[in-house]
Amino acid sequence: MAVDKLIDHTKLNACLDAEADAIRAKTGGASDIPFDFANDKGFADAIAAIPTGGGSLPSVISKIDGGSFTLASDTVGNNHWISHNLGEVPKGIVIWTDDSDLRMSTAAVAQRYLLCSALVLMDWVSGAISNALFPQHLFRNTNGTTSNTGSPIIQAVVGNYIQTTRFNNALGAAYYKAGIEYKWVAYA
Amino acid sequence: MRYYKIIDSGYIISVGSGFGGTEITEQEYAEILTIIRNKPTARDGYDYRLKTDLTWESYKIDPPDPDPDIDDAEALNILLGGAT
Repeated sequence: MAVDKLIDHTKLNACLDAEADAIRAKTGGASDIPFDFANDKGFADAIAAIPTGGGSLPSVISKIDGGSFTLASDTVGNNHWISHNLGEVPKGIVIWTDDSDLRMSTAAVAQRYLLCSALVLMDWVSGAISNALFPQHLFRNTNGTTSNTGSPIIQAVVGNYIQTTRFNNALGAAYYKAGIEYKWVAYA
Repeated sequence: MRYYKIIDSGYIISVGSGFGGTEITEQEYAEILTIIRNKPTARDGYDYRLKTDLTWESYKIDPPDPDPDIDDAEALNILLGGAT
């Protein structure tokens, strides 16, 4: 290692802390970010891992958040709460899965590609959230037909939470399928 | 990307990405996800739940409600906090 200049380490640490804070602000993380000194990369890997933006939001949307969840058990979490970071009640929500193994745990017919969306009803005069939704949902059966019978999985929105519940179909009660990755997007 | 796990009463309810829960590393997320996707097959009437030490615990499940749908009036009562 060549040492050819005197460096104010307090100043350098402050600069690196600021860079790490800026990375965490983008990723939403809180853990330490390793500074790769040995490979001359510094924070390069952490910066490279930040997803590329998809352009600006449409003018009709001011905020958007999203994520995923996977339940450990079919019967645990019949009322599962999704936390979002919009800072306000979302105007719309979509939940879906790309997992082809989605099926009801108590139903004989395998089903795929759950889609559920909801619009949040607001009193435009008072501005109050009535907490009522217009949920719609759709299942695709393995026989190629689609169904929207049963209960929608988006139940309510409260503050920074979206309440979802087990989804059901006409064949009877069923539960979230454990091990399936469900994805969601909420916007305001 | 931020990863999290949700724990309730000593059991891991779910893992995910995004906001909420207790933040975990990508490595821990992948480890728990692998365990979830390799859950043992339960006998009829039983299921497994995942303890925080990442071991499975068998438990008896309640029979499903044969008709869980509720009518509009009852749904409105629940939403307004007046459910009985």
